[in-house]
Amino acid sequence: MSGITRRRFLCATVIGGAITTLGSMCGKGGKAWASGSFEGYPEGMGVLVDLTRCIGCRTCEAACNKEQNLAPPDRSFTDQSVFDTDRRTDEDHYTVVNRYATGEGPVYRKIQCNHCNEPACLTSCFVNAYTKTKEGAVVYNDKVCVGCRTCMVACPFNIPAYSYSSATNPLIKKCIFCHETRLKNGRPPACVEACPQEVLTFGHRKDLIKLGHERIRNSPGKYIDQIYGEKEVGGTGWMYLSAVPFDQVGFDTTLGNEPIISNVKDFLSTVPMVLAIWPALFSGFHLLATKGKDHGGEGDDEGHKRSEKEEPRP
Amino acid sequence: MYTITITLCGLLLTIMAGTTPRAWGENLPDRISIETLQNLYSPVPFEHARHIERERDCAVCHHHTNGAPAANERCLGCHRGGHEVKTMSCTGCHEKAPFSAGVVNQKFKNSRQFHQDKPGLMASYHLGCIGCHKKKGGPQSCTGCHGLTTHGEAFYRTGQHAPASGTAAKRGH
Repeated sequence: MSGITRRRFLCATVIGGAITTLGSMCGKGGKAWASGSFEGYPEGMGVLVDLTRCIGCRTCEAACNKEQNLAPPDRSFTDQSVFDTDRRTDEDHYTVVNRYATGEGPVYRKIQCNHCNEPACLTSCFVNAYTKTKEGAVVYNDKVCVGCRTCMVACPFNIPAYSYSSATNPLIKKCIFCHETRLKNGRPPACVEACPQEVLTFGHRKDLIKLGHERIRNSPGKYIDQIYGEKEVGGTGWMYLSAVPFDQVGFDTTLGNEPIISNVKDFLSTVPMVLAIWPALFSGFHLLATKGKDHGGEGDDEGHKRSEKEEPRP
Repeated sequence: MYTITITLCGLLLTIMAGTTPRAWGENLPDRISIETLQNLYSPVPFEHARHIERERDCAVCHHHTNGAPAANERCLGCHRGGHEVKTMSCTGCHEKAPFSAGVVNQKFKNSRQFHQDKPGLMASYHLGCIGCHKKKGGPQSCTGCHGLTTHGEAFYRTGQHAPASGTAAKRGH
C-alpha cells in the first residue's frame, strides 16, 4: 500500500514538472518576453528627438491632429499660452509639447508614445489588444479592447489616454506612429514630416543610436552624454537628446534599464509551477503523513489493526 | 511669440534680381524668393544682398560649395576649398523629403557614408536662419519671415479657421 502511495506521489510530481516545462516552452512561442529580453526588431524604425532644436512651434501637434482626424482643438495651434500649464496626452492630443524653464532658457519637449521595444502596455494587456509591429510601432486593436485601463497604469511614460467623453464605447487612445497611414508604407509619421527644425529625425532605430552618439561627440559640451530611450525600460523607439539634464525637462530618470515586465516576470513564471506542482506535492505530503499516522504513530494497536483492514483513504 | 514655421518655402532660387547686384559686383542675386516648399506659408522674400553685407563669409550658409574652405572645422578634412560645385542653391544637396523610404534605406545600407546627419531642405533653412537670427537679432517668429496662407490657417486652426472662443468641447483626459 505504502509503495503505491509513494509511487503515485513521485509520478504526480514528475507530471507536474513536465506540465510546467511544457507550459513555459509554449509561452516562448506566444510571448517574446518569456525568453530573456527582446531588443526590438532589427529593422525597426524610430525617431530621435533633439530637444536643442525645438522652438515650440507646435506644428507637430497640428500635423498629428490632421493626420489622425482628431477633434478640433479648443485653442489655435499657434497659441503659445498652452505652455503655461503642463499638458499630457489625451484622446484628442496624441502628442503635446511642453515648455520647461531651465538655466539655459526655455526648453520644449514633445511627448507621445515612445514605442518601447518591450512595451509595458502590451505585456499588461490581458486581451492582447496591443501589438509591436515589425516596423517598430506599438499599435492596438480597439475591437478587442475592453477598456480596463491597465495599460494606462502600466505605461512608465503615462501615455495611453482614455476616451472618457464616450459614454457607450470608451476606448484607449494613443499615438500609433502613424502606422496605418504612413509607417507601414515606408513613410515617416506626420509630425516628423511637418517639423520645420528637424527636431525629429526618422530612421532605423540602430542608425539613430549611432547618429545620436555622433551628434554628442561632434558638439562637445552641447549635449548631455546620454540618449534617453537607448536603454531605458529595455529601449524605446523614440529617443531623446538634450542639452540639460533629463530630469530638469520632465523625464523620469528613475525608471532603470529593465523592461517593466521584468518586475513581475519572475513572479509570473512561478505561477504555472505553483499551480501544477503544489497540488501534487501537498497531496503527496498529506498521503505520507496520513500513512505515518495510520501506522500507529500514537502506539494505538487497535487503530493500527483497524487501518490494516480498511482501504487507505485516497 | 513664436508662431509656426512649417514650410519654409522653396529654394529654387527664383531670382528676382531687380537692379544690378550690389554685393561684389558679381553675378549674385540681390533678392531671392524662396518658394519651392511653399504650402502652409507664402514664399520668403530673402534679401540676399543684405545678408551678404552683414555676413561677409559665404561659407556660413553655402558651406564649401562656392569653392571657399568650409566654415566648420570638421568639414575641412575633405572640403578645403578649391572648386566651385555646380549648384550653389540649397536644393542641390538638401533633400525636400529627407525621410522618404529611399533616403532612409540608403542610409541604413551605407551606414559609413558621410553626411549621414545632413538636414533636409526645410530644416536647413530653419536651423540656419533661426540659429543665426538668434545670435544676431533677426526675426525668429514664424510670421517674421513668411505669412500664413489660407491653407496654413486651416492647418493651424488660426485666422478665419480659429476655434470660436468658449464653444469648443472641453473633454477630460
